[in-house]
Amino acid sequence: MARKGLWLGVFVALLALSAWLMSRGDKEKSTVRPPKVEFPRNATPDESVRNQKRRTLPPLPSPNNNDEGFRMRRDPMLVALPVDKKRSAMVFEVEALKETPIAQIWLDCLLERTDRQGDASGLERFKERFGIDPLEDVERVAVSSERLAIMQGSFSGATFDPSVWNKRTYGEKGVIYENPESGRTIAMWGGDMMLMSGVSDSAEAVEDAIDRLESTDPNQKSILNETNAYGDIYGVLSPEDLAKMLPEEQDALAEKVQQVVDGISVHVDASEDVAIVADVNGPGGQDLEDLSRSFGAALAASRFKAKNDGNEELANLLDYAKVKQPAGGHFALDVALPIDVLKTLGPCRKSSPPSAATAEPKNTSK
Amino acid sequence: MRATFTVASDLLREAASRRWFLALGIGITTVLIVLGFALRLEVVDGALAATRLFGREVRTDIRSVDVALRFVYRAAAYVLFYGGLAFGIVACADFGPSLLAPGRIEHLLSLPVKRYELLLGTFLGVLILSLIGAVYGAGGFTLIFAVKTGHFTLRPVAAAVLAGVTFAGIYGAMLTAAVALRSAALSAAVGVVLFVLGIIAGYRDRLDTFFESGAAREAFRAVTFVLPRVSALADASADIAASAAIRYDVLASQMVGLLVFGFASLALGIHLFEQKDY
Repeated sequence: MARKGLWLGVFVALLALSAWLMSRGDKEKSTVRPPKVEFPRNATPDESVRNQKRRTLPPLPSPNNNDEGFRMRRDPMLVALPVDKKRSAMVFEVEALKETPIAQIWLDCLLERTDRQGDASGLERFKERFGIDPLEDVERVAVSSERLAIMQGSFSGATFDPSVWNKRTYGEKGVIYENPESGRTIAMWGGDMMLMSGVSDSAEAVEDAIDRLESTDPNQKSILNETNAYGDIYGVLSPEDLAKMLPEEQDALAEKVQQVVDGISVHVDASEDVAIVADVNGPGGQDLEDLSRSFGAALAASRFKAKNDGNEELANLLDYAKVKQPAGGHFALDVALPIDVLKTLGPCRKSSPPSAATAEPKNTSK
Repeated sequence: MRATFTVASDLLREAASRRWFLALGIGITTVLIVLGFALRLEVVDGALAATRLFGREVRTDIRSVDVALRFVYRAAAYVLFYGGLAFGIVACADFGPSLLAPGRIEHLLSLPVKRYELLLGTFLGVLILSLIGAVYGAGGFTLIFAVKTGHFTLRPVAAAVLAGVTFAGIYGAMLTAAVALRSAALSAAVGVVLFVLGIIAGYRDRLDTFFESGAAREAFRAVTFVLPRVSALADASADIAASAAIRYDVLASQMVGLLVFGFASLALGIHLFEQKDY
């Protein structure tokens, strides 16, 4: 009788054991879903509305006086950017960026570090000096390789100490402040734009920007088109600047970029994970196709090198990099930076330099 | 124990003589050969730059070849997992009933073989058979891509092993059904039901929200609690093949759990077998 029930007992015991073992994966799945990244390829409806509201400059007259038709008002920040195609410019939507998960994580780290060090952060120093809170008063910031930075926002509380800054007017709405000691030049235009020259003792960059803002030249064309104003960060890179950014071992690729590429427009979305799209424009044909392959190969080689060097962080980032096949004279380079990886970088990077007292010399050669 | 392996090897010999398995072998081999000749992959410095299938260009993104292959291996793992399970259920449903066929079972029982060794040997034979099929298919597939791209990984084969083990778990219940009623149709039906319910059980934590809280939800949770988590293992198999992050401790628990489920079913089958007079 006991033997008869033995296998039944084994059945019940094993069934209970199997149910318990299998149920371990119900709450904690063995699979870890990869992040789903949305790459910015067009303006969202909210961004279109935002762009429309920003068009406050009157339209330019038609190059041909006989032309009729619709003329759009213009976005002053884009107009203030350089017109030279050999320049690069990037716009950072500060207001949108500060709401993004990664910005909040980085800001927390930054503030925590500042508290720990007991020193005022750069943001606070800026606020003390100019009466502007970069996190509250600035809507967006543009920087260009013409060594010009432009901020747009609410600058009614901006203050410039008259004992430090020399003031003069420029154009219809421009006011230029120059600091003879530091050589810095800052201009205010229209109450909501602040322009900063990156060249010491030179107001040329800000004067040029004000000229562009007040110009009625019908042929004036910013390097950043309004249709390209979408994403949390966007802008254009000149082939020369992109070539400079490539690592030394990619010299051949850098040369090819300068020969084939007309321009690169960049869009970054940071609403969840950070997704970057770089649209590389060129004349099309075999050259562009070859270039797209070279980019793909460069990414693969960099990833392989990072893996070999034990740089898992970089290798993981490059896992998400891909080049879209060329179509219609352009190809896209997509790079996704997962928030879990970014969390460990920037201000949240854990590695802190050892103190002088405890630091020991290390042999880094391998 | 030796008798168990003898029964298992007998089953493998029997499988080799069956058309189903001959067709499977020819089918897998044909697919691999066609793939080998029809697929052209252009790899430039470690990046998959162009893909041609039957001479036509397939538009794909240019990216590191191992990253690009992850999508291929993921898709192949799902096909192999679900396709392999479905094929196995149909093709192996007859093993149990034929073992218990009048004339044959009396002969087997007259030999110095214990009843539980007969069932255990059959179970073991099917486990080996499913592993051979899965590893052959996945191994061939991996080898073709390794030759064409220069990137070799054993992950798709590991994923296929998971599929084989999952089938063995389900087959334990199929064999028990065959012992109870000696019907290939019933055996297959039990396999199909477990296959479908196993897909549901794999997502039980997400699906139970469709039931109103109370008796209905508790009943759903109770029924699915003991069922093999087929879909969870399929997802894990695809993730292994695609080099995605895996919680191996959880996966090991689920895999062992599934094998134990197979042995539990087998224990019930042995219990029923011991009660029968032939």
